[in-house]
Amino acid sequence: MQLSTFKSSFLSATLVCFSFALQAATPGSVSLKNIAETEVKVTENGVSVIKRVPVQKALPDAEIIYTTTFKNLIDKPVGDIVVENPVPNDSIYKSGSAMGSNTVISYSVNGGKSYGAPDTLKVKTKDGKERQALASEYTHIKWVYQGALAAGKSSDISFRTVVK
Amino acid sequence: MSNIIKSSKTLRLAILSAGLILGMAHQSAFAAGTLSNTDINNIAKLSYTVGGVAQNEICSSSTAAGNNTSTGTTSGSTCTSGSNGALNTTFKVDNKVNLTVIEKNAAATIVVPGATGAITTFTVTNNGNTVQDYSLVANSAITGGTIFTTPAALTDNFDASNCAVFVEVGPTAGYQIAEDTATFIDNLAPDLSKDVYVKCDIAVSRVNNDVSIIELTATTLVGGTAGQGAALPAPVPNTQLGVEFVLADPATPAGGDGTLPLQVAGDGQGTARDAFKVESAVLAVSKVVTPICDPINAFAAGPKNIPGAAVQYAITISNSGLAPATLATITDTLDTNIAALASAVAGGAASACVPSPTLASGFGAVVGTVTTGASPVVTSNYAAPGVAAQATTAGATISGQVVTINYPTLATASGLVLPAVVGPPALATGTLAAGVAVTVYFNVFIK
Repeated sequence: MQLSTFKSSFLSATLVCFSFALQAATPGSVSLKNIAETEVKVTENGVSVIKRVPVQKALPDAEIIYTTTFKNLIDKPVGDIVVENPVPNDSIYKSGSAMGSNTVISYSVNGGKSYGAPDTLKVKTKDGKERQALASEYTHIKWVYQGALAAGKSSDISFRTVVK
Repeated sequence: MSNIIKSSKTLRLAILSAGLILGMAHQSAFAAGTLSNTDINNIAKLSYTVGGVAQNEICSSSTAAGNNTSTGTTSGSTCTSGSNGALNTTFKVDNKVNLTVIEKNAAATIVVPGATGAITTFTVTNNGNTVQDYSLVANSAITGGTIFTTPAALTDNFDASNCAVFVEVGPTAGYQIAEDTATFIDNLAPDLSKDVYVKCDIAVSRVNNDVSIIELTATTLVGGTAGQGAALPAPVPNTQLGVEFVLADPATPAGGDGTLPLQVAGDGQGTARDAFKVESAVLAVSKVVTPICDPINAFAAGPKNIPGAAVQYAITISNSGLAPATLATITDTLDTNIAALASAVAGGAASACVPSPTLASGFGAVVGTVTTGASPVVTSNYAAPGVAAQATTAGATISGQVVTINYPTLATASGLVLPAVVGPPALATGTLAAGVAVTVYFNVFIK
């Protein structure tokens, strides 16, 4: 995994070289929308159901669901889609909550400098030993979309946080 | 390949050191959580290719259409709200209202009958995430509740009067009448506490073991500005970018020792109980006379109270109550048929019974004990007539027929009686502790 992490860094570095040839392609071919919601219990037709609503009541310990939607706005497929999202300020990532169909999800404990699967992320304890990083120590999440997103199509990814 | 492996090791070290720092800082600085009115912001970033060619990155927007304006670079972009179409996905942390009120020292405040301005102490803590004011109400009209368990449960049987509430605001800890004049808590920050004093009067008619339970209720008010804040507004629908009050104080059952009544959830109030317990000294004075010698029988068995006889008076003060008493002086006006001798108060020989072997002491004092209860019994170490070990030479004066005994002087000078008690509570020299008796004696002659 350390090797593959390095590979992706290497790939990004390669892309930087290409960027010189592609200055300010505005507007882009993909739209990116990000919303924050909470779940509330409501009664509909006498049945209690859980609904998602935009965050309104947000106290410490509230669970927030972030949903990011990316949509292909052009008539060609879009590939190599990577979405990175920081765990927001004053928030803790909820373990196991990151979702996204057709994506490979990795995490960062160093502010997005590098990413890895949960079992490869380590932190050092006070006595100098290594231990596996806790989900609450994640700083960023990355979704790598597998394959291409067809023209006009959109897809969602999401994760949950708890307000500190 | 070997280069790649080496680099990846370096990379791993970088991850570890960053993780160490982050691991220590992931909890909120406040036990109550993130402060209200904090904006929690989030922007996602997307990179992609078209036809295999890397495109400029795009930062997210919270608008319905999202954002498709690119950042101008294909990697490493920093997303900033308001720049290149990016817009924070934001909400504000609401105002979590939560508090606790507790009784402070796990014991009743001991008071004497007739006490004015007796103080019992509570602690109010802001467990919410916002600076709040609190109004305070004390109630002594509790009927029949019980409180505390050690050494025994106390049952309310009277109501302390004229109760008023004051908040610790002065530079000196503990209630200071001149400093602690605030009657509400002003701007208490999250996680912080304030001591609150309830000050009451105790009727002089109250007796030992009477108990008045005092209940303090703190009600959360709007904080943030100097002076007593307004009541919390009525609940309004929550909004994403507004800061609304959420009453989050939990329901808790009544506590086992009676200091925490049932707490109702979501009323923005906290309540605790404390008590005043009456404990006073109960003093008894007794005086006995013992013949020592007479001119006929001298010291033989059965001296009689005939003219010229020496007798010893012993005055015992016993405290069978629950509280110490500070003794000042006692005066004894002698019958005009009695001649007080200088030696009666100066110690030394009683003399003058003829023939006259002298007494070891003309004046002395000794401490004994007293059992408390319905019929207190004094167990004095006094042995009449006095012995040398009990003799003292200070603490008594005589003027004409009046003998005056000064207890603090007696105690200080002789070291025999009423020693200072280290405590707690510390008792000054001359204090007659609960359960203690003191006997002083002096010799006189019958004219």
